[in-house]
Amino acid sequence: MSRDPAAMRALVVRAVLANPVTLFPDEATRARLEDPAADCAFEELGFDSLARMEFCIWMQLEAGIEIAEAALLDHPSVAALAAHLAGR
Amino acid sequence: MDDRTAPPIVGVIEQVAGQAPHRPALIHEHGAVGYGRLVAEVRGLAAQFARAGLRPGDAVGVALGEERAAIPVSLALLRLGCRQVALPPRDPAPVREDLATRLALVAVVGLSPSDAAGSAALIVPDIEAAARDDGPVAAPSLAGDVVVGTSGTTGRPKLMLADQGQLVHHAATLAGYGTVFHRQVPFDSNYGKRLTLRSLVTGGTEVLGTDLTPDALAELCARHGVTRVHMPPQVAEALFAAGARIGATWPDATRIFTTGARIPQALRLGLQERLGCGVHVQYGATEAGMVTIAGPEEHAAHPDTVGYVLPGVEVMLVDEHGRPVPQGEEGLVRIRSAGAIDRYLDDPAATARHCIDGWYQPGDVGRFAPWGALLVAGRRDDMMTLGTIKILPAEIEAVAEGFPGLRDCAAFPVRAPALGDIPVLAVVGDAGFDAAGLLAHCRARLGLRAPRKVVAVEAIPRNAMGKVLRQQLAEMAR
Repeated sequence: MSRDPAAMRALVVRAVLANPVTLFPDEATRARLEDPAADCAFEELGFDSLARMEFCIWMQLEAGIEIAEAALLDHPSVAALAAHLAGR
Repeated sequence: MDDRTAPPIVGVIEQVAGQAPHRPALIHEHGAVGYGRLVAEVRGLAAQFARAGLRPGDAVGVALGEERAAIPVSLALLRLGCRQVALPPRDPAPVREDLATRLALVAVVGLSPSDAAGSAALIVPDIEAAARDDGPVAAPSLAGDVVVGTSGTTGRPKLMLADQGQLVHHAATLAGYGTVFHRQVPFDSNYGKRLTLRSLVTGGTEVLGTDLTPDALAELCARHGVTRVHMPPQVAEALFAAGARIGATWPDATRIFTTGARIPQALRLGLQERLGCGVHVQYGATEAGMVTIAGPEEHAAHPDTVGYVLPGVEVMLVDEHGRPVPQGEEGLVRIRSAGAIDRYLDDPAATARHCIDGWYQPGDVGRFAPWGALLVAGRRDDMMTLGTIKILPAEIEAVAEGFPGLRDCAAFPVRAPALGDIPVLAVVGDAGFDAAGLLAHCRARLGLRAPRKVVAVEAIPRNAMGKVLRQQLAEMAR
């Protein structure tokens, strides 16, 4: 089932912002996160193994989307992951 | 009488009757039944049942909702040496039919043909006639036993046999907390039946009354000088809720007993404060009898203790391979006691899982405090594994309890194949409950063991004994 890529990107951003173990991004990073034309790598957002787990938990509980931590390594930016999930 | 060489239960009750025939054994809404009268009824009923064809060893169902009648009937079956099982009229017909077939019941003691189940014959007891019947009867039998079932939180109930020693195990211990007692637990439940039998073999007085409101319960205890009242956790909750109103009526000497591995501290302390009486929590199992009792003193030493292991009962803590764990470490609880069963009826798989090398293993995880009291952390089956993190619902619930506006809560897992068990907390909260605040509160205290989501529910699903039905919660949240 493929989904709307823009909606998926917005969902991924919500999951990033809701992450309980990462710091809230600075203004410039936040602006890039919310700009549909821009991208942001998970590494820049301070994502480590725990943050990836929390991201996957949020996606499961809040969006019903099943995703493994490895997907964030294979698709290491917000845009890349959103495109992967939208096309899945 | 804490061992299996004890005399038959009815024999002991007859001794009490011989010494104090006028002492009330049962007090009901229309009067009192003295020990002498009770024993006469029991002998007469045993004679009626024998004339109806019942023989020692026969399996008999009891389908009497009226406790004033069910108690002498149950004693008469014990006296005769029959095997008995309760067929509560409130249970659906298929459940009763299943029990009748499984246990090959030859008869059912009840009032109407609809009480009979399977191919069992109906026997209608006549208690008035029984009390007048002074014909000869055989001596009380030690062979009579009771088939009890666990209420279970999943699947079909597991059945087991409780012999007479098990039924009244630690009767004197309970009597030490008060000899005029009341229970808000039905006689046709295992727990209720054992409480009544323990009272009778120690010459106690039981005040009967079912499904009472908190106000009626307080009034009953005051009127009859009840010193010990047993109730499931949900009745304790209702009492607490009504505490501000009934606190003045509740007699300070009426100790409250409830059951479970963990009763919220706020509930215990709140009850004690509002009602001015001690609250005691029994830890044990249908399969193992009483294991510990924790009262105000034990709880003061640690809020989550279940207390000290009772004399004559042994508790060992083991790892997954059955090896004892070092002192102070968490392990699976194993119980050895004259009150414990060594097998389930026609359920070898459950027997193999729970009855191991002479020990009963309920599936609880616990540890011993340095001062010797037992702490039970929760059930092994409830343990959630998120990645490599082990989380017990009880630790989440303990942190959440007391949060402003929270009335009830229970943690449960949402299973995600790639992650494991994601802990989620179901809450019953007041209007405008701050779910985000509770989530942050838990996170700050539990870190990675915190619930990841708070879901509001109308009520926490529980079984008759107050155990949370976590499976059902997971389905509700789906």
